[in-house]
Amino acid sequence: MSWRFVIGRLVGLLVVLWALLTIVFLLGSVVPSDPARAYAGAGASEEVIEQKRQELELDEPLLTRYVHYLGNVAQGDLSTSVHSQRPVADDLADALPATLELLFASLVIVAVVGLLVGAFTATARRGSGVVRTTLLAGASVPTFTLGLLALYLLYYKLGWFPAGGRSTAIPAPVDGPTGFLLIDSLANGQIDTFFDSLWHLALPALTLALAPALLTARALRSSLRSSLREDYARTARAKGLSERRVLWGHALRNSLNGPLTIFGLEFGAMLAGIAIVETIFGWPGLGLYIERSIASTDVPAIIGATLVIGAVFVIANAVVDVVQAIVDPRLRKLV
Amino acid sequence: MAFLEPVAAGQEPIALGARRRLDLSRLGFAEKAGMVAIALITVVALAAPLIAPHNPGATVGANLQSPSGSFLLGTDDVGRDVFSRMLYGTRTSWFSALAVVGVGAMFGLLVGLVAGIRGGWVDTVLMRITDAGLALPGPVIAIAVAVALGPSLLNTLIAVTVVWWPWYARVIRGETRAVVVRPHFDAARLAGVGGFRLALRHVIPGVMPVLIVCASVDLGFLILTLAGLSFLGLGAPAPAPELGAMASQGLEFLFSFPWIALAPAVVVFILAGAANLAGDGLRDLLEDT
Amino acid sequence: MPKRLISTSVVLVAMVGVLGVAGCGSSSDSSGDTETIRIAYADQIAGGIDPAVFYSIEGDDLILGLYETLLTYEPDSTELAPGLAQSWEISDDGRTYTFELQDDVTFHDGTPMDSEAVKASFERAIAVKGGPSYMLAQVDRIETPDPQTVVIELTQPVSAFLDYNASMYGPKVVSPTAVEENAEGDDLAKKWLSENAAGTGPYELTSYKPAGPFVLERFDEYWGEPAETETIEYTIVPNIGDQILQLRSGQLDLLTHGIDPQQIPSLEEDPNLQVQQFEAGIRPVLVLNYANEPFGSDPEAREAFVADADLPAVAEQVYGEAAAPATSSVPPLLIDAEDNPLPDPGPPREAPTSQEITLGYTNSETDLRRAAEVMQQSLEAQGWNVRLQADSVAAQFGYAGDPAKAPEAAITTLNPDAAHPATWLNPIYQTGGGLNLLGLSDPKLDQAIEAALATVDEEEAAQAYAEVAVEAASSWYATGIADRNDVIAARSSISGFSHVPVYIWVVRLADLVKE
Repeated sequence: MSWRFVIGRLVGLLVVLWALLTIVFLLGSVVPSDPARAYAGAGASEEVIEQKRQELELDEPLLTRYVHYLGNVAQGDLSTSVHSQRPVADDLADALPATLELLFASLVIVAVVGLLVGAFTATARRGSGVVRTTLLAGASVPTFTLGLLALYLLYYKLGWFPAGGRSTAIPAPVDGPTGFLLIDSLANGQIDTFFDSLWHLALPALTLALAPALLTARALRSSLRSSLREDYARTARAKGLSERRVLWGHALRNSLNGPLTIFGLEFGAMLAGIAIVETIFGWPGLGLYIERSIASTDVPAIIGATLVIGAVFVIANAVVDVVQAIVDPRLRKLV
Repeated sequence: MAFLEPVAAGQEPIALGARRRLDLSRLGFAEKAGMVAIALITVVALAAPLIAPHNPGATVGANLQSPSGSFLLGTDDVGRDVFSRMLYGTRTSWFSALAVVGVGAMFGLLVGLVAGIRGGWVDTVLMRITDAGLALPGPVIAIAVAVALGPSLLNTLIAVTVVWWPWYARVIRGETRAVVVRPHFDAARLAGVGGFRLALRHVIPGVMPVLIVCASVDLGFLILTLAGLSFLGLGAPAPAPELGAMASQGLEFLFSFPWIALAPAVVVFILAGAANLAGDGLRDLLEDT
Repeated sequence: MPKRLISTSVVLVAMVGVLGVAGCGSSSDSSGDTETIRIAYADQIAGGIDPAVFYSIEGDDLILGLYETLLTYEPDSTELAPGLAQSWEISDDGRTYTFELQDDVTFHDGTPMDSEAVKASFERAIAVKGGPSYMLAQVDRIETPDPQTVVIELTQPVSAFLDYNASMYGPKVVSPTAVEENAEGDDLAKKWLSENAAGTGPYELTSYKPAGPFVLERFDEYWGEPAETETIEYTIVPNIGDQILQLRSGQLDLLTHGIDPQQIPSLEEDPNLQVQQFEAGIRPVLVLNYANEPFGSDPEAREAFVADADLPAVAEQVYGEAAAPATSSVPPLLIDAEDNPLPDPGPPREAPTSQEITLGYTNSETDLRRAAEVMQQSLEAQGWNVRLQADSVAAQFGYAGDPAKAPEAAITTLNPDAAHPATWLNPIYQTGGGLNLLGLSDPKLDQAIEAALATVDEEEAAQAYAEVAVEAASSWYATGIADRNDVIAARSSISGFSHVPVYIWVVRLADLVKE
């Protein structure tokens, strides 16, 4: 793999991250209402408000504030939340593990289900129209529809899953090293906490993962179908290799490009879906934080969260790009 | 044969050849159903004021009544008819999505055309900007933009349009590049036909089908995004009947009066599903395999 | 090929099944543990639990379990009762207050409480300049003639001073040792106290993470009656629907607020649950903007707007049995309704203007959204042109910064900080008052309010305030919509509800019993 390729990607990554920072800063400075008063709180005297205004550098020219902003972000200072009165960075640090755990679980589901369903349906001879439609229909379910239905049916009516929160145990089930309940509970040898957390994780993760999983399956299926028709596949069959070997051995590797691209796009949609899923299931992560911040017009919190989520997305996509290049050598030339 | 890249959210790679036949027999049952559904939805959306049994903003009964004869989907927490609100909500969602796709596609068309025809540094600059836009998570940025502008329907639509156009720009630019290398284009340019007419008569007819297909497969995803933003509180303010907002307001009552949240939620599903199926169908019609 | 996939799928399904069963086994039910009561909050405690800073509502029961004020109120009344002060005297000129402190009071960190500690706490509250610091604005000096006596001298008489000290935001006594040991630079230990506690209350804080949970445990060296229940645990459950479900399933024991009146009947039907309603000083209010048109200059427009908004119908529609339509200028807990009746705005009439009126409401309160929607319908029926605007609490407090640009009308929920008319009339009606959101500035009213505050004789003060209340009501600046009850839902196994009307969303933790 050429170094040029990696460096090219890295530079691109940095440029996009810089663009993200700038966009986020501009959005933060556009807001009409007076932030100083909101920070100072109810019943604050004029001098306290004026003091706050100085602190926030509201009267400085835009460029100065931009430079200070970049400096602050580099040091990990994302300003203070109006709602919680704590540094946004602290709020995000509290919320991030929960979201990452949810995202990770969803991505696993997307990958596994997408792969299995896509591969399985690619080889089916009959009913391809039905399959195609079902996949598309399933992928059209909006996150909040699925979440509400799941909550209502699977939790309320059938009682199969719990609602709300990451775990039943109070206080915090496990004071773990990572903040991921699944990992921490295993690390501490608390098996029922592990299962309890998994049980709580199931519904939100499935809700978040269903549409992307089906879309990935669709993409893989169509990719596979074209691959399976191609010459090398016919050659492999002619050589006597079983259909299974053809599929898993050759066609799959050549078909991953399309689905991986979809995956990248879907990831963006999932990040938006995070806010909805966390709101419905009361999952205390970044998404819920964003929803709360929208409700309280907490601009520093929203732009801080947008920055973090945007950065996660951009970096993850860059990683996917590199993975794609590893998998499909044809892409390595495209810097 | 040109391949469109990047691929639309969830759709298989689109291959468009020079020859196209509008052969309806190629459509499966589902795609046809989708197209019929879309037509129906458009009619319903247009006719909502005529069809709706009650004023969607008016208290017409006791709060939180179950579905019955006079209120097909019951009443909400202020005594308004859920069914009527749903009809109006469909109208808003549908036309909003069409508007965003329309404006986004037009803007993307413009950018893509200019980049594709001009080439050179103009192309590079425009595509770099487009790529940066594509690299960022659109729906997330849209949330931030909508908050910055203030919660209203127009601001949310603007926010979404702003993050939506890069994809169209990319696609159109690719198609434009494919067209400009063809002999008839060169001939026209050499004959001295000016930039604007060049674009109008020689490029646009070539890229339009692609644009239409892209827009139609994109519509479903857009409907979902808009509904999601409305669910989070970014959209038309109360008491406007917006499907996402209705679902969000009904969340509190989900376990005791479920229809308030579930009805709009299911309608969004139907809208997005129909749009996706119809989009698939349209693409099949224009596709050359 | 298909065979392999089928077997894989079977394995996956089996795994899910196992997990489901395993998960089911660990469902938690709080009912077995009678020594722990679990309460839910909808959100983090904004700004933390430093009593000199805290000025919201959710979190107050927790703070009152950890800290105490010099005075308090008798349950279900507005009668002052001893707190950390066992008795008190006011000088004839109304400017000197002498408090005799309780004996043998210890802080959670072991420091004994004495008058110096009280003085340090008050001085700290003044220095921190938090939301509640206005209550000490007239404090001139504090003296400690002996360890059991605190003498506070004011710059002028303040008829509400005792009530300020009984307020749920009243100055709390904090361990000076803790403040000294945990101060960072000159922050007066604000950082430490936002997440830790060192008070005198019946509970001590054993665990606090900003995102929850919060754990309180009985303080064994409490000077008064020990707390009934060993442990109180708070978790943050953002959705009220979810809170109710957890209450039904036994994961939670008590919900002190957020319950929609329309949920009450189904809650009462459940044999495992009980719903208690308490008179409380919670009032949604319709405020008209005096800094812009049309209400700034046209009294008839104001009266017409209030008449056409049909506030009694709004109260009925939105709150049902859980509130009484407002009939007085000031909540009846503070002044008897008959002494300050709301004037009658008259019958509904044609809107005098076609100007678009923006009606703002607090977006986080669903009852206010409903009230705004219902109001809009009544108004539009009379020809008003009304547009609704959802504003966050912060945005609503921002109105005061530039009222001319704020909505022409707004609905917000207000509650008096203490059981004294000064805590309602002053902040709302005084020029520059902390709750004067939409630019009222009436010098005559200001004078009357100041005079009432400085009246020494109790009865005269009450009379003065009643007059102010009547005057204020006729301005139609802030008209009450309803007087809401505190609605509390709990498991049937919980008893010992001790509620003070002006401590809203609060039941005294130390009195709660779980069978």
